[in-house]
This record gives sequence, structure tokens and C-alpha cells, in this order.
Amino acid sequence: MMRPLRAACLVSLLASLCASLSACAKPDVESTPTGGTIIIATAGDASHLIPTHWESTSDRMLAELLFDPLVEIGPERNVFGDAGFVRRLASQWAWTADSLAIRFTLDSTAAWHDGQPVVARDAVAAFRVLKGRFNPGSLKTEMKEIDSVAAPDDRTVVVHFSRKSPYQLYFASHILPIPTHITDAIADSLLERSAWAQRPVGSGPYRLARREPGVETELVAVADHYRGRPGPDRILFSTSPTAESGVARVLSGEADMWELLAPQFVPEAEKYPDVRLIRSESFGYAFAAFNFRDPNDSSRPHPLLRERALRRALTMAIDRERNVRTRFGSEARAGLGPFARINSPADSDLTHIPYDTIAADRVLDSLGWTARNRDGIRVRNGRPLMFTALVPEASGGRRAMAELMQEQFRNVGVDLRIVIGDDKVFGSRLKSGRFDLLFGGWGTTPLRTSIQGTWGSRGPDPWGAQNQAYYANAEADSAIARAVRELTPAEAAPHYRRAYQLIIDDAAAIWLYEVTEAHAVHARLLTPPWRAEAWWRTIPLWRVDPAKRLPRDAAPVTP
Amino acid sequence: MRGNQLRRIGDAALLVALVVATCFILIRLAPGDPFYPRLDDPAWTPERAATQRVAFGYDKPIRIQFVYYVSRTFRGDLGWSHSRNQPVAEALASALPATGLLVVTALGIAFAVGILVGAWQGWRRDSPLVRASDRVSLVLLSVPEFLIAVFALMGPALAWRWFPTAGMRTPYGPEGVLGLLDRLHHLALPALALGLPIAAVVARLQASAMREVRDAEFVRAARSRGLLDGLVLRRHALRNALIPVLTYAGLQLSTALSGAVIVERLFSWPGMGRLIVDAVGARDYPLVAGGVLVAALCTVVGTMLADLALRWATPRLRARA
Repeated sequence: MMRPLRAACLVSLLASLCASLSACAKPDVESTPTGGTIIIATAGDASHLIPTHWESTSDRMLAELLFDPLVEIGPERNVFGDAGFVRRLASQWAWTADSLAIRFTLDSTAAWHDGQPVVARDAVAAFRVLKGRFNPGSLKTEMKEIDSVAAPDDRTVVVHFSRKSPYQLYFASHILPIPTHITDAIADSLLERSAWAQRPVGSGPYRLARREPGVETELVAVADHYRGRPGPDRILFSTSPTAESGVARVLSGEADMWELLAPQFVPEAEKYPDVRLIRSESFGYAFAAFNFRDPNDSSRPHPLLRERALRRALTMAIDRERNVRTRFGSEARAGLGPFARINSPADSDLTHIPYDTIAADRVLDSLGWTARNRDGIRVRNGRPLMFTALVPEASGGRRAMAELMQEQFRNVGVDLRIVIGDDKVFGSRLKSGRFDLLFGGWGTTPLRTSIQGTWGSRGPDPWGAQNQAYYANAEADSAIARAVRELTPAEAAPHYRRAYQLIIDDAAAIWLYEVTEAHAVHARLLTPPWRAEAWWRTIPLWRVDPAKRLPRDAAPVTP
Repeated sequence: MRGNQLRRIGDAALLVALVVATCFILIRLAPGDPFYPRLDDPAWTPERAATQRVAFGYDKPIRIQFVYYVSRTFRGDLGWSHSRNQPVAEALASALPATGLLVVTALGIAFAVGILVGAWQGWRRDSPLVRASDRVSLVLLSVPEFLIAVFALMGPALAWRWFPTAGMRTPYGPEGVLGLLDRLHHLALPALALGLPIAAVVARLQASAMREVRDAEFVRAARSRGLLDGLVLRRHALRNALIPVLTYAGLQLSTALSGAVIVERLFSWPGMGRLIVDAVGARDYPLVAGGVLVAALCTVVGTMLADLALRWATPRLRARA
């Protein structure tokens, strides 16, 4: 039998061991107390804070923290039907019998930051502004299939669609109601510049406390939010005009996060034990698209690049894998086609035009490009085989790819001239079609139908609306159209796959790379699983490790 | 005298008008406009951009836009910033004090350090210490200021953590006296990065002027009267040797303002330089025009102040006036 004193000693020893073990263990997100101040260094600042006018990711990030939607796409990123969608202002929803409308019931506890209840009219007003002619915002595509929004009573919102589609709820999730008790007094044409737009009253988990455009924006937690109190007390979005200064702020501990770490900063950031790199797949992909129209007259086909064999030969001359390794190391992968891996993981085994310089030489010879000038550039009928590449200055990755490809093209007797322009110069040349090769990139969304605009033939909206290189293939269009019509991901997948393969075989572009995104986050932040498509949506769930709190975490909240 | 002053003010106003008009035209001749697409923005459509252009009058000829701009400016309306979505006057009002603080501090450091070091170098006969300091100033003169700023950011700020890397203050930092010290702590590196290259030029000018004055007759006369060396330096030599430095000072405001563009970006300093560069990148026409107007006014006023200082230091000029 154990003596009481010894038993007590053993129990206390075990207790202290448990206590010290629990202190050593990393605290988990859910059990960690709320509070604290998070400073997020960002490359750009929002120009609009209201959800009806957002134009950029920065706008969207702030608007989604300040305003709640009716429903939100879930972490699984399903856009078909309503699987995985999560409740926000709407506590429930149901389709009407004809599948042409969704009836939402608003959460009875949902309220604006000024205490007024959220009512159905607020959603109607948001839709009216989103569709309105005074609104240059970028959500018009999502609103296209929504015919009208009605408010039969204060708690019911009915969204009517123009046609049956599996994406109706996804489209409706882009309606973020606005407070009509404030905005009714403002004409729609003046809404963008109104005092409310500068200091919005929202319905989201955070409210605006302070803002200096271009410099910083402070949000504070809404303690009595209808979905529960968000974790951090305060979020300060602080703009850094250069990536160097933004990264330096995180490495020195002055900021808690730099939203997107360029590959060249990754090795340096990895040396800092206080900084953790969270990697996620990108929704973007980069490509070098061949122009199918004459750069001097876009009504005519391109004199050279209309030849499929020439485009394929040029593609064969490029060692995409090596180029990606040279520029990015392990921080990117070669592009797969007109899509991002994260949206189509099953399509990673599509057949690609192989890297084969001998075959490229043979094809170019067979096309009559046999003679060479003094510089070793192929010539046909006195004309050198020369192309102009349009490259955005802002993308270091694409600039590097263009330079590497220039060398590889030269090896097969092709002269590539590179024109680098800032965003506006790039946009101006893009609009006028003055390029042979466009070093472009698309940021996609979980909705795969955007391929209609980016790689579909030019036609009635949305077909080809963003297809700046005028690629056209009726067979691919037909496959895309079928994919868009299908009601489930499984039914749509084979049609998307067929469209992708046709576009790849056509050599519409050389598929450059997909970067693995790296987010530099201070180790004191505890974060739930990262959401690649919109990381900021989990901010209310973030916690500050109690053992690593800083003086700023205890600063009083701005009233 | 009064006529002379009025003429100078008229010249200055004409200069400002010319600078603003040139920038107004040049920025519109650059490719793109505020409504061209952001990079890889799939939501952009030409129709959307066209609607916005019409709404802001950018579809009209440049001369008509200029007339509108001038009439609005005279009414005190500098327009609306597209990139910041706020009135241009508000954007400038928040950035100007930050740049003012940075530039004035940098110039203060530059002239205080430059004049002291230069006077000492020129007054002293050749010595190893003088030669060493001369080489340091030569190095500072030769290295571009952005490189000095990068070194400052990487070394004292990031590697050694002596100074903060960004901003004007610690977010949610101390208030009162400690808050003031915190702001000075944030100001130190950007001001040094901006001021040291100017200090190097001032030091060399001052040293050269001092060497000329050192052996001048009036200095020898002062010495022969038995005055102490320090008194001769302060009362007789330095004041005369300041003239070339003060002439140079008038030009340094514009140098410091252009240097601030780089330093502000590297240290995330929320001032005019950063504002104007961002505005040019975004083709934010009203903000560029407003920024250039304010910068030109500051330069003209700074030059006038330097002229006054020169007149104060030069009895000959005062007498002529």
C-alpha cells in the first residue's frame, strides 16, 4: 500500500509533468483564447471597401471582412448545387419547384454594425447596384444569370435566375447586402463616392475603425456579431510599396504576415525561425499565347502563326520543365494547359507537345524555313523567322521565362524580340493586339466556366471576352459548352478534359508555369487549414499564441 | 525692390504652371489610362473601361481636359483620385506632412553634418583624419542613394534590428514622450539615407570654400589681432565660406524631393514620393497633376527661402537689394 505522502508527491509530480507538457505542446486554434492584434503587410491597397464595387483582390478582401454574403462557398470549393455551402446572412435556402429561383431566409439575429437588423430589402438593393449602369465593379459576370431579386417580406430574399444552371447558388453567393437604412438616401450614381463608401457600415465580423487610403486600414472585431465573436481583436492591413519592404517587415517581426512571397524571397524567409511559410496551390497559371491575328490588322489572320505546324514546332523548341526549375526551383511547376491544377487535379495526365528540338528543326525545315541569315536566324522568301513577345514588367516569372525562351528559340533559328511594359503599356498593346506572343496569366476561380471567356472563340458574351490572342476552335467550344451545361462535376469533367486536350494539341499557347504560393506568416499566429482561394475568409478563426503575445496585442480597441 | 520681388513671384508662378501643364500632357500621352486592365484581371472589359472614361471626361481632347482642370483647380478642386478613391486634396493633405518631415529632417542632417564636417576639413591642415573623412564623403557621393537606403534596410534595420524597417511609427505603440521617441526612431534611417549623400556634397563644397577663406587677408588680419582660432573660424571664416553652400542649398530641396521617392518606397514612408509614383503607375491623372503641382510649389518656395538665406549671409547682396 502506498503511503499518503508518497502518493501525494507522485500525483503532484504527474500533475506538474502534465502541466509542463501541455505548456510545451503547440496550442491548437480552437482552444486558444481570442484577442490580439494582427498586422498584415500587403502589396496593394483596396480602392473600394463596399462589396458592390470591388475591382481587385484587395477590395474583395476588405469587403468580405466588413460585409457578409447570404451564403458562402465552402472550403471544398464546390460550385455545383449547394453541397458544402455555408450559412452566412441566410440561415436556410431552398429552390423553387421550377428550379429558376432560390428562396433565402435571413438569420433573425443578423444585424448591421450600427445595430439595425439586416432585412431582405438590403439584398435587393445590393443586386440593383451590382447590375446598375453606374457600377463599374467586376461582379457583372456573376450577376449575368440573375434576373431579379425580390423581398416578399423582411426575412425572405428570392433570387430569380434566367435559366436553370448548377451554379445558381454560387452566383447568389456574390450578393453581399448593403444597409438600405443608410444607402436609400444616396443615389446609385453617387454611391461609390459617398461618405458611407469611405466609412462603410457593414454586417461582417469586422468593422472599419480607421483608414488612410494607400497606407493602412484598421478593422476591429464586432464583439456581438451574430455568428459569434471573431478571434483577433484587430486587423491592420498595412501597404508596403515594394515587396522588399513588405517581406522585411515580416522577417523583423513588425508585421505578422506578408500575403504572397515571391519565389526569390523564399530561401531568405526560410532562415527565420519566427516565420512560417504556408504553401498553397495557386489558382493562377502563366502562358505564352500565340496571336492568331495579324498584329498590324486584327481583322486578318496572323501571317505565320495561323499555321498549326509552326506553333507546334515553336512549342517543341521550349524545355518548359527546365525553364521552370531554373527560375523557380521547387516553387513552381510547369503549366498543364488552360487551367490551374487546383481546379482540375484529374487532368494532370493530359498529353503534351514534347520538348524535341530535332523534331522542331525538322518541322521548320519542312515549312520552308531552311535558309539562315548571318545571325543563324531562319529565313523564308527573304523574311526572317522573327516574333515579338509582349511581357508584363510586373511579373518577374514571365520576364525570366521570356528570356530563357529567347535563347531556346535562337537554338532552332527563331528570333524572339521581347517588349516589356508596365501594366498600362502592357494593357495598351494587349488591347491593340500588337504582339506575336503574349506572356499572359489568368487568375481563375473555382468556377471552371471562365474558360469560355479566356480560350473560347470570340462570340456573344461571355465567349472569348478575354481571349486577347483570338484563339478559335469550334470543337473545343462545343466541348466547353457541354461541360458548362452539365449538372455535376463528374459529368462536366470529361468535356473539360476534351476541351483542354484540343487546346493543348492546337498549340494555342506554350503553358509556362503554376507557382506554388507561399504566404509568410509569423509563428505566433495559429491558423486553421489555409483556404487557397480566399485565405482571408478564415481570419475570424485565427488566434494569437498566448505565449507569444506582444505589447500591441494588449492595446485598447479603437472605439 | 518691390518690383523685383513681384517679378520673381511672377516667374515662380509661370514655372509652376509650365511644370503642371507639361506633366498634365505627358501623363496623358503615356500608353494606357486609369481604366486599362490590371494585370491578369479576367473581369475587365473594354465596355466597362469606355463607360468610365466617358464618366470622367477622358474621352475629350487633351486641351479641353486641360481647360476643365485649370478651371477646377482655380476653384480649389483638384479632382478625384481613381486609384485611392478619395479626393486628391485629401490624399495630398495626408502625404505632404510625412514628406515634409522626412525632407526637412534629411536636409537638416545634411546641412548640419555637411557644414560642420566641411568646415573642419577645410580649416584643418592636411591630416590622416581629414583625408579619411574626405574619402568617406567621396564614397557617399558616389553611391546612389537607393543603394544606401537598401543597405540601411538590410543591415541596421533587418539584420541588427537597431531600427524599424517601415512606417512612421509603431502601430499601437506608445504615446506621449515615448511616442515622440518612437517616431524619431522610425525617422532616423530614412532621413539618414536621404540626407547623407547631400551631406557629402555640402561637406566637399564647404571644405573647398573654407580652404579658400582660410588664408584670406581678412582672416589673417583677424588672427593678427590676437583673436582665438575658434573665434576666427566662427565669426569670420565660416560666414564667408557659407555662401557657396547656401547657393547650393536652394537646389537641394528638389534633389531631396526626388530622392524621397525611392526612400519612401523602400521604408514604406507614407509620403508624396510614394503617392506620386503609385499614381503614375496607375495613370491616376488627377493625383499625378495634384502631386506635381504641390511638389513644384514646394520647390519654388524652398528656392525662394534659400535666396533669402543667401541674402542674409551676403552683406553685398543685401546692400544691392
